[in-house]
Amino acid sequence: MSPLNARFIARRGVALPMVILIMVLLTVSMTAAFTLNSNEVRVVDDQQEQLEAFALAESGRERYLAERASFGFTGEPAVSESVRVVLTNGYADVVVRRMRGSTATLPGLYSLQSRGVRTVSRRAGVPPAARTVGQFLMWQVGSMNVRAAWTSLSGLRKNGGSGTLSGTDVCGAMPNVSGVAVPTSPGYTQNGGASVPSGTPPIKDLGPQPASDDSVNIDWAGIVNGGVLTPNITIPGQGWPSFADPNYWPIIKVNGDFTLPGDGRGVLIVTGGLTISGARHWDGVLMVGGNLTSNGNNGVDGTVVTGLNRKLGQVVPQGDVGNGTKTYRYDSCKVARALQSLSALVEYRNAWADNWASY
Amino acid sequence: MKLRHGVTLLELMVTILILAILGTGLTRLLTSQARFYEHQGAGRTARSVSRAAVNVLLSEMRMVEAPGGVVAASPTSVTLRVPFAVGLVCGPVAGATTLTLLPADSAMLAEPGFSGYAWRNNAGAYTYVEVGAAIGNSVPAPCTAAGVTPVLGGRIVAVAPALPAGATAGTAVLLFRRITYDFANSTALPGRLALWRRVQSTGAAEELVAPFDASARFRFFALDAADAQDAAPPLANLRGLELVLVGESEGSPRITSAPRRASVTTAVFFRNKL
Repeated sequence: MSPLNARFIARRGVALPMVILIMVLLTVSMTAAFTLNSNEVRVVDDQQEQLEAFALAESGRERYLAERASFGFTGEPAVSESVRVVLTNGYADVVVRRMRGSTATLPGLYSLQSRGVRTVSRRAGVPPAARTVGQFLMWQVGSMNVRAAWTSLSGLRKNGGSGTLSGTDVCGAMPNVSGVAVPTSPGYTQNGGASVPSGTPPIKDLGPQPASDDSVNIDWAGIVNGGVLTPNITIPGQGWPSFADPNYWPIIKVNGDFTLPGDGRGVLIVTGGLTISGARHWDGVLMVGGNLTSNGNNGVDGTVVTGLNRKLGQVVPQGDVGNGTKTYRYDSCKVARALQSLSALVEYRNAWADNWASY
Repeated sequence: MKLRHGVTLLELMVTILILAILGTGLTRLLTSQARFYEHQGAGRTARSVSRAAVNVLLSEMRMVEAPGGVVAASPTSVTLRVPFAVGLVCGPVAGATTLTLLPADSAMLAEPGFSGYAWRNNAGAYTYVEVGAAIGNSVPAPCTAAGVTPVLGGRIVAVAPALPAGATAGTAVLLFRRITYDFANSTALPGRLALWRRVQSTGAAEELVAPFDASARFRFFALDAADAQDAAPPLANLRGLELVLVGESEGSPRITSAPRRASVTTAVFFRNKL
């Protein structure tokens, strides 16, 4: 190698060190920026996951309450029941525990715990987000504000002094009510004999029409239009059921006029007029849009409400009890039993907690 | 004669020129990067301020009951009865009433500052009791006698004065603290605005987060109104708050020479309402 070539080879430049220096600086800067941004992304991600877990817990709670039957739960809950409600990107474990069972006078009380858990994949080593909410629940039995053994929004006319229209509670569990409750006009009229209605008072004046229509707290429009309750049997479309099973207390809805074909029990809803002939007997609740025409010595133990189509603005003539020895008696136990299928587990409003300990 | 290597004046000047050009470029690059990161960092800090405030406020305000849970409200300050536990009445015990509580966050339970309790009537409305209110531990016996099974993990406490006779076993009760949240001068960053949390019964004041821009404020959701409003409605009609949290960076990046701001606007509605 000639000295001249060696001289050229031995020379050092600054280009390579400068490039390396700049690359190091840029790498450090980019790493720092990446780290800072990653930290912010993680913080935001954690916050978002927490909100998502809260939403899952709430969704699980609400879905359980709205669709409890679809999870296989019917009737009043036992000591506890639980279900995993699977939701998009997560689930909610809903646990309901009994705090007090229902009694004749007190509703059952329950605590609900809904723990929402996210299932989307997260960074390695980071646990899934979870959040727990709680609420008290109560077992709300179907109830009815019974005004009388027979409440008629269109008034009532009875022929003769025979029969019973009694507001005295047959099973003695509740305070007595009136024998009949009617508007001021047309009120209760009787053709001959001693006044039949008995109770506290025997005849209750609901006031003048149409204000008297509002004295009966039944959402008749909702029932007629099918939005308020779901009948077990709808007529026409389905046949009259067998009542061989003494524990069978269905809700039967009849669209139009109807003649009671046999004895039965439960809640019978007739949107038109109802005719009961012969010695038929009904236990529970009768709700009739038009009038109830009674022919013969039939009876009801429970409560009867007629003329409800007045709440829809329709004209309903004064009801006519007809001849014969009728026995219409208020029975709170049979009313409660008939309404049992309308019972539900409902939220105890205004008793919700966001800070259920979940550790 | 030994050959000596050297540089000519021309070579030296060219080298210096090149180094000057490269140095200037590098310096400008580093300076601009530093300012950029400072700017970005300030933005991150401002966003962090807003987010931290949201976390604290939401978890406490959700449980507030309406219409009785708001004591005072203005764009810069709200005083709330913040529930920290929910329970059911078991029964009377020696001038007090025993409650069984749902399991609650231990830190929330342990914090001093019990202000009183509120009990729910059959219609769902709460009656607040604060005068002479006290709380202590109790025993399960009144619950057992009332047929109420306490929730596993929940505490049993007694509150005084005793609830009225109408508040029978199974009546829902909220235990609460009066807490004021307000935007006021920061002590950590003098001259700046901070969000404070003040427990009324103990006087404890906690500077939650700072700094905020002067435009940070509370807005109000009134009953049956779809949009938030600036003025507080009658307290009984207040159903939620809109939190306009305009966080700032602590320092002023050189690019803007003013604190970076990050605005987070969110809403919290009172969940325990009629």
